[in-house]
Amino acid sequence: MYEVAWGFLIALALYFGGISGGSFCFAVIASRRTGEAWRACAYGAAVLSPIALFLAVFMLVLDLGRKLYFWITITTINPVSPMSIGVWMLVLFGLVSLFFALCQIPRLPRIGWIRKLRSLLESHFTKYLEVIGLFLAVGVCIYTGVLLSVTSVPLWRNLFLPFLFLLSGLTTGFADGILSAQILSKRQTSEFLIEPVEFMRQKYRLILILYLLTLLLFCFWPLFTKDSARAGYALIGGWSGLIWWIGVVGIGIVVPIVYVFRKKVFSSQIFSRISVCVTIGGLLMRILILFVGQGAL
Amino acid sequence: MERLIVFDSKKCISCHSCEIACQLENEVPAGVQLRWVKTHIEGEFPRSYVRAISVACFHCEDPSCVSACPTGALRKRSDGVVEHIQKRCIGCRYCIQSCPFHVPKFSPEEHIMRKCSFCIQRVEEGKSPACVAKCPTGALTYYPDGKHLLSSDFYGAKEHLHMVYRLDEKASKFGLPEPVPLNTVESYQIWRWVAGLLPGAAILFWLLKAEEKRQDDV
Repeated sequence: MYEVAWGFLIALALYFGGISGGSFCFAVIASRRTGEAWRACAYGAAVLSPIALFLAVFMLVLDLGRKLYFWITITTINPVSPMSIGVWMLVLFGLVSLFFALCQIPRLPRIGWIRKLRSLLESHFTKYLEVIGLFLAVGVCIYTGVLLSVTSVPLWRNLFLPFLFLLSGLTTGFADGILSAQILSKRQTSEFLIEPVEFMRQKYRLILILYLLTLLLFCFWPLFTKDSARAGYALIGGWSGLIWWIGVVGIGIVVPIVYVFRKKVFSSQIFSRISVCVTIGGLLMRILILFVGQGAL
Repeated sequence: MERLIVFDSKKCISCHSCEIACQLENEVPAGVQLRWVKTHIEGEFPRSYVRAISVACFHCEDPSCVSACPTGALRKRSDGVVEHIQKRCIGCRYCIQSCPFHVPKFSPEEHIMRKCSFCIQRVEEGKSPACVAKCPTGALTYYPDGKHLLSSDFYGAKEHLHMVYRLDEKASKFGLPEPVPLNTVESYQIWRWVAGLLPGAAILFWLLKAEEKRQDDV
């Protein structure tokens, strides 16, 4: 039994961090394509990314014992601390994702310096923003996994955790990016997004299978180790196991897999359902990993 | 100088004096303990007896908590003591998750982490730590420069811990991890980054390439 040092706020922070990284990646993919639908996706996902990042950082700060001293993490660098590396990634990614979102907003407010900043970014820095942003987005998704997997908590000490968090972040970020595009486009019908939705459906086939395999490796691997076997059984058995198999694996991955492999004509509505499924699954996964790891469930 | 505290399990009578002395010396709020006595009962009644050990920070040679701390609130001193600089602590609790001995405790009243300070304020005046000073049986002993005294059969001696144990039973019986854990934050980290970044880069490359190919086709 371990002390529950990290609770729901940290689970939400991990979750929003994943959405932020994933939606930025989707925004970059969308911004490199032409057409109204892709522009709407780039806009929706690019705006979602800094908002989700802000929520993640807000949750992290809210969880601190001394909230008003969070700035000490920014004035210090400990290159061997995943948390210190992560904080710096969050700061840099926050800036990059904001600048990128600024470039994707179709109608900017009539404020001089904002328009000047955008034209400067578009004329010189678009490529840099994309490349650095992608690197940082992947880093933001991964660092939470690295942070947990180097601790002394047996369930978290798992090599697959960083990649699992990345895949979860990408799936939720992509799906929520499209959802955000639907909301921001203010169209009566969402069918105009069918091209990006169909593209994501093709890509989801591999990503979701990979996600499922990584998740299975993550939860079965500890059973074959001496130190983590008990924690592994705690995750996949009992009440937590029920939530794990039904919520995380069933709703979060298997249902979306069934949707993307069905031969029927795909629609944005179906993709919205996938968004809801992967969002629920991703959140439940983080809550379970966090709480079962600390012996609370 | 390599400061050292040695605990002898044969001499401990589980009186908890070390706990009380530590609480008073370090002004620890109620509900938080920087040193505590762990007991377990050996044998079957009526031939049962209580075994106990006094546990606090092990002041590891290569501490995970120091590697984990994002604010530099934990540092390793040249005399072996792992120092906690309270004014730099933001209460993130990452050290609690990183310590293989589950030693650091969060103090809800002070909103920061607390752990054994080796009573540095006392030892720098030439005194022994409060727990050692108040131990009535000599189960806890302090050596201001005691590395040379250690034999390898002490728990933690080979790993150069600064709180070591002379145990008359297996360490696992006292709830101590065997073998003595290493710094997982540093030794595991590079592989974790690689395990995330490499496949992550491959997926992104695949997604971006697919998108370029599609555009070429159009």
